[in-house]
Amino acid sequence: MSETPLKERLRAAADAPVPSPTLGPVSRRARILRARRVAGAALATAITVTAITLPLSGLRHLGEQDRSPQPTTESVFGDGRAGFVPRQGWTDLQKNDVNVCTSTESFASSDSPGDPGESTFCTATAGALSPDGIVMAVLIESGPYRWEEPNGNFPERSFPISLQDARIDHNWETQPDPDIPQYLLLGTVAHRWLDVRVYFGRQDPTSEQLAAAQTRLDDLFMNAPASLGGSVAFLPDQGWQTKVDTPPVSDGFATPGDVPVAAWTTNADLPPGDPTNTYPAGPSNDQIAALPAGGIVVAASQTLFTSNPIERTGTYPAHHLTLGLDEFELSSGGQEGLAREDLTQASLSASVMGRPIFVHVWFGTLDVTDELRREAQDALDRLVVVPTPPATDALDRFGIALPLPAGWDGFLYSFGLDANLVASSAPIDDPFDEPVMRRSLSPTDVAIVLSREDWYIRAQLWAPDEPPFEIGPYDRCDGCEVMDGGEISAPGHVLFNHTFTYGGAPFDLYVEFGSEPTQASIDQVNTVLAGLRLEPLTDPAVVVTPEPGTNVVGAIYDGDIDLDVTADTEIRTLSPGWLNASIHVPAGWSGQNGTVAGMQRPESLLTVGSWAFPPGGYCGPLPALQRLPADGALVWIDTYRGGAPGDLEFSPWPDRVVWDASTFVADSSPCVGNGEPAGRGSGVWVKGWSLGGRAFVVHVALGPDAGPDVVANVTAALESFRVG
Amino acid sequence: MTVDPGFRQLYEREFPLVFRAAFLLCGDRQLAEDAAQEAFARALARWRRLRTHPSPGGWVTTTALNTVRRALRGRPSIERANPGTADLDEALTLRAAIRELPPRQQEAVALHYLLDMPVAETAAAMGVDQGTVKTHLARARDALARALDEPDLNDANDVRS
Repeated sequence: MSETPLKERLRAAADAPVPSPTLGPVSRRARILRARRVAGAALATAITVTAITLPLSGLRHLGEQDRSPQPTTESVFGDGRAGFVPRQGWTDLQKNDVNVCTSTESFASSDSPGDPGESTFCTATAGALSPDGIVMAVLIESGPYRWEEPNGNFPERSFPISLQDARIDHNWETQPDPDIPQYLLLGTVAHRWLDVRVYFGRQDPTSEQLAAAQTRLDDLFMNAPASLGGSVAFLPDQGWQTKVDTPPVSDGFATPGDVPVAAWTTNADLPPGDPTNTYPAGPSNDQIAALPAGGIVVAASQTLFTSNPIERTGTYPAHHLTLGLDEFELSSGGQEGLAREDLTQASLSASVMGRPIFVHVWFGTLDVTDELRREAQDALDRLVVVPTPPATDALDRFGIALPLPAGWDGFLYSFGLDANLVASSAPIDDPFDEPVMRRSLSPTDVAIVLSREDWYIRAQLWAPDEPPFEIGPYDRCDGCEVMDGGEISAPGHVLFNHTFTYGGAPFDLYVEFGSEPTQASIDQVNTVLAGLRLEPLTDPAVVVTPEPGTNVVGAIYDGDIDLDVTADTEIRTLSPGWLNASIHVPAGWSGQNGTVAGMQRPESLLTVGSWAFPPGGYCGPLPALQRLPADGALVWIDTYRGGAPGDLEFSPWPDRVVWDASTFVADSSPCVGNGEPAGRGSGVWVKGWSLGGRAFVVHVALGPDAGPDVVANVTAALESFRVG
Repeated sequence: MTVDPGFRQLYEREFPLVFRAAFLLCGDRQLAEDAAQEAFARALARWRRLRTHPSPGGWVTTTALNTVRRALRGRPSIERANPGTADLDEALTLRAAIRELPPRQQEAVALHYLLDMPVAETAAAMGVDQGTVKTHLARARDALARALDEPDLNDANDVRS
């Protein structure tokens, strides 16, 4: 056999029926990955092909405010309406949802909706007021759907608004009568631009009039803006189609609005898109490919979610509506999956209303005329973004919560299905570039990276774990890459990787130390991790359900700690109920039959440990191994029914067990963790022995500080093993 | 849908090879298929840059192997109790030995022996020089020879420059 070239032998070992390649799932997955990369990369360089300079400075450019949005509550849609609570002595004229007048006197017919001389602010009625009369006009300048930020014209106010804040105009444009003053109140209330004008029948209203007006102002209500279907949307406009889509995903963790969403608008008549080729929902490549020369598509999407200040990443600088096209980065040509060169693209990543969004404009030509730019800018002006609650430094969202020690930095974010947490004792300048942070860890620093996977790899069935989640010697992962990032840890750094499932979701936990960690520093990290709270998945559509499939272990089961022999048990013999096997449990140690329930081949026979170890595991007693005391030991024995596999070697069970390298070999099976023994005498060791015609696999795990007395207990226990 | 013809060619040409490289490492058809698809998806997501890579097929293969390694963490060996014919035993033994190799040696073996890449192309795919590839291959052969108890296996003639 050895004469056969290695190449041929490898090819034989790799020979398996090749599935038919289907590009559809690959393309969709690629689109998701691309969207995330855009979300996490600076200014959407992913779509940049050839930067070109277009003279855009002449375009309308609003939104120069320098104030960061600070929404106070979770946004809830309403019907967008403003009005007054009915009050005796007052008559209301509701012109439309965002325009209402109220008066102590009759309304002039010319102020009625539809009248050719209709005045938004009911000035005809004001002009006919008696000296004691009052007219009040309200207009929501931002319309029934739009959310706004405060600015110089519309400073932040809250209900009830006060007449004392009004600007008093004794002479004003469109004044219907010289005796009628105007009390003007402009403000941004609950993210809407509110314009309130109060008219009195005399220039110097009496205190009774002022009091009556204030009372009526207190009756003003304004519902939240109406929904256009998503947290980003475009106001409709004649000749333009508008759409708001969400991709067909579900997530038991998603709080309202946490589903990736895209809105788009176009002046072109585009063919139906391929819904499987969009992420997030929006124009598909084939639709963009069909864009005519005069066609424009403007799309805005949110794929990234966080409660932490997004501006700190630098990826999403704060912008204010309306977005100016001259702020966009321009490029020409197609994009991945879209081989069309006669396109002009403009893109912008921005934090708007506290929401990280990506806005993309496609022109169906390389010759973008001023008219096309104006049309695109008009479309951008119709962009609606629903504000988010104020940012917080707390790490608590998406079903993941981790209190951080003082002085630690952290960031928690999601792309809708997954969740990613970065925390460190060192400052994190850019959470999306955490490899930089990890590389620069000082010897005393430590970083934690936790990811709840949405990886579509169906075979990813890691072992289950229960809180408190922690790292142990068997999680040490020299040479591993954090999240397959393409590079191993910096020289001198030490990486631990603990993969597990909890509540139906797979988690990847990495802990990187800036130097070789002491047990104390590992304990400190585990103290931090002890605060980690994970919520079980609730949506069965996304719950990862481990299934045995073709493997030889059974269903995963974690039982309660129910030791058959405890430290205090008088009878020290542990005997499984079948096979007539027994073992003597050393004094002060614990023992349990069938620790890893559900294992089928081999079966979990019994386990002996130096402490009250927890049961459960997958194909090995991982919960116990993860909690192995530094000076402790765990011995577990598996057995095969119906004969041992031919590829395993079983020597006779020795009368005297000698603890040396010739007896046991390092157990690098994934069933004991990440496979690499921690070295320095610790680790997991394995040996196949036969006894009474039965085959057994003996595993021994030793903590790094296990002394000779512990080893002596291990060998004594093994020597006490009997069958029959 | 519209996919760059260059990527489509790469996908149709290399998918069987990438799948087999992944299968060599894990022995699990489902995982191998998933890993190959994930690797190609990552390639498509960055195709504009990757299409000028000296060895996009090698990039996809090493990505698929990374994917498999990650999926295998904490996962039981699925072949341990499926003994069969001598050929199958040989395949199982060889796969198990491959699994024990360090990642870079796995990549070198997969690219050079399985995908039949010359050393120069293997080096380009791995982003290392040719001497490093030869070192990886030599160490891999040595490790396989010891694991399989076949001293003759370590034959440098297997290396194609």
